[in-house]
Amino acid sequence: MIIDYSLVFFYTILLSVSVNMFRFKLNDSLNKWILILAALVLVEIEGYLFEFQHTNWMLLVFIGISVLCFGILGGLLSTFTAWLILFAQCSVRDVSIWPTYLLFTAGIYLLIRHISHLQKEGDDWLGKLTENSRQLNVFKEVSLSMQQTFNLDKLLQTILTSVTAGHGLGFNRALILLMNEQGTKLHGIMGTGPMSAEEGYVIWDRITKHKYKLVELIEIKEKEKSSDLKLNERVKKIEIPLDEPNFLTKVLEGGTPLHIQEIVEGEGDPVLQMFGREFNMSELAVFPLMSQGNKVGVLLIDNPVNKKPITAADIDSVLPLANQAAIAIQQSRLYMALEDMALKDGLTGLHNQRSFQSLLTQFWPSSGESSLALILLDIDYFKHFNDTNGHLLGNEILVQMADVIRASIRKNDKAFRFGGEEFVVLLPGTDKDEAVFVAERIRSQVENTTFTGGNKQPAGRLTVSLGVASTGQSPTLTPLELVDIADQALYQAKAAGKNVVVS
Amino acid sequence: MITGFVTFIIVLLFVLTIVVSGRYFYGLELRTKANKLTRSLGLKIAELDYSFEQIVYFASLPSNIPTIRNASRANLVIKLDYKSLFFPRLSGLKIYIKTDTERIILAYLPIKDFRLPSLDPLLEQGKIDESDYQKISICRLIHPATLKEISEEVFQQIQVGRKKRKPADTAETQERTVKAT
Repeated sequence: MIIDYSLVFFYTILLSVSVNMFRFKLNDSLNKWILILAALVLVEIEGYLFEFQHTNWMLLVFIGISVLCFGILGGLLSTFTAWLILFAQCSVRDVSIWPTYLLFTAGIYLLIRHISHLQKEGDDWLGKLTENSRQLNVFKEVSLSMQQTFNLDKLLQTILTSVTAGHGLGFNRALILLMNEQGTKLHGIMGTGPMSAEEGYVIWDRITKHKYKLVELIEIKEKEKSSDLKLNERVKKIEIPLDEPNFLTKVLEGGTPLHIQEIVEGEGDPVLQMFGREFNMSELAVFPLMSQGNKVGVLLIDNPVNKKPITAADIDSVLPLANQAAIAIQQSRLYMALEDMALKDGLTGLHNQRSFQSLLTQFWPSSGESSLALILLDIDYFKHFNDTNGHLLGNEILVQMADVIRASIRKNDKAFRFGGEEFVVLLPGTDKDEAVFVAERIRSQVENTTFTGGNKQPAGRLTVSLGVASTGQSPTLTPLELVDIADQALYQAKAAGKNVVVS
Repeated sequence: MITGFVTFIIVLLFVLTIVVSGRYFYGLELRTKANKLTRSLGLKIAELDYSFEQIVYFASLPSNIPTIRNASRANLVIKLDYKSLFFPRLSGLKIYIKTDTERIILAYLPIKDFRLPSLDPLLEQGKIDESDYQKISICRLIHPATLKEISEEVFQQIQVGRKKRKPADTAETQERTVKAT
């Protein structure tokens, strides 16, 4: 007897293990059929070993597994099959077993449904928790990055990276367009993401290879000016007037996001067509960037790499970030305006004396570095100009003079209004000869420019005198001494008859 | 009477063996299929790059909660999250902090978000389908080296938060304990 029992236990384990070994090789449907078949085989083994004494009970396993695999239909079919087995093998002709089996089927079905419901609810909760936690983590990191800067470029890069990084909100590409000061146009400012799927795969591969985190990615994007070059070249060319209605004006006026599921070539909004053409966009979402009712700009997102459809949940996940971004952009713009007011001359738009003092120290060469040169220039007979033409025209001349200086200096040179009619130019990494060359170019440009009222000057035109100094003249110079040398040179230029450069 | 009890034991044994060995054979089959697939694609599962950043943390790290703050590597438990007893499917990784008195779920990594960049172009080109992709990514996820690295990454997060990262090679690997169940 014990041998029989051991044998049946052994067969049971062997059957179960063999079934599991085999069924996962097959597709879902065959996997289920194999499991049902295994239950039937178990019924038969038990029947042959114990002379079908408990087959009616064993068939419940078969029915239970059928319900598990194919629901209520599986239960009903297996109930009928179970009765056929009883009829054939146990000669049971009594149909009273049917209600028992049907009741069992219903019970198992309800139990499985309840368990599935609980599991689904658990999965939903886990999904929601995961999604919300992910968003919260992104916002936490983005807020931290945003708090660390008032620089608009850095801020925009932070926003765009957060929207596009796989561990951020995970979109493939994002563009930011900001409103101009007059509120008449949207200008393309910055974008991040690939122009093609292939480019996207290369970026994605690099990120995972180095296992970059969101904060690290933001830092890298800030440093790497070369990232997303192709995209940014196109973004920066975008200029959209807001006087005619288009999908962007609709977003800004409505203050709500817009989901465009498909851009049909050659149909509808021409601005939308342009985005489709220039950026190979097919589906996109547009978010208004609004701060305290002020329209700041728009954020556009799309998925050109994985072509993943944008869902309502995706849109909801971007909204809080877009709102936060709008506030940060507005604050950054206000900060930059304040900074401009503090460091720039209100009349000419050139840097002011405070800015000069700060940049003079900043550019001052340490030992071994190439020299710093300075040009000090003064408008000749400016008092005479004011007395003859009035102070209002005098102010206009100062503005025009600033424009001439701006146009005459090199890319890395910095021009300042030193005070009154005096201007100064800082030339980093420049020796005296090069500085004299630049000074001569300014002098000549001024001489050849027509200034209103300039013909009433003693020389018959408006001219400037310039003094040049360079740190190369003495290794022990201090910043104050450099300014003083340039000032002395300027005095000499005045004494030499004006409209000259002295170094 | 005795045979009735034995019948009950048989049923119990059948169901238990199916349930208990199911996950093992599911994993085995998955590995076999994934290895075959990657071989045909000229890839090696152990060399597929992935990102840690799909791990979702349920606590702000570094945390002030004593159990999390004081957790050692030995307290970190990674549990494979399966759905269904009879038809197991891996749906993610649950990462717990387990002490003698507490068990706190710290992070979750959903399998659907565990993407491998080497496979994306192949999926796009139609060389593999989403089901193949998932088999390979599950296989990469449950690879012992991946579990070890994830455990180390989570421990680093507990220690230094998400701002700075200590290079993995400086970690005290001798102390590491990963329990994948």
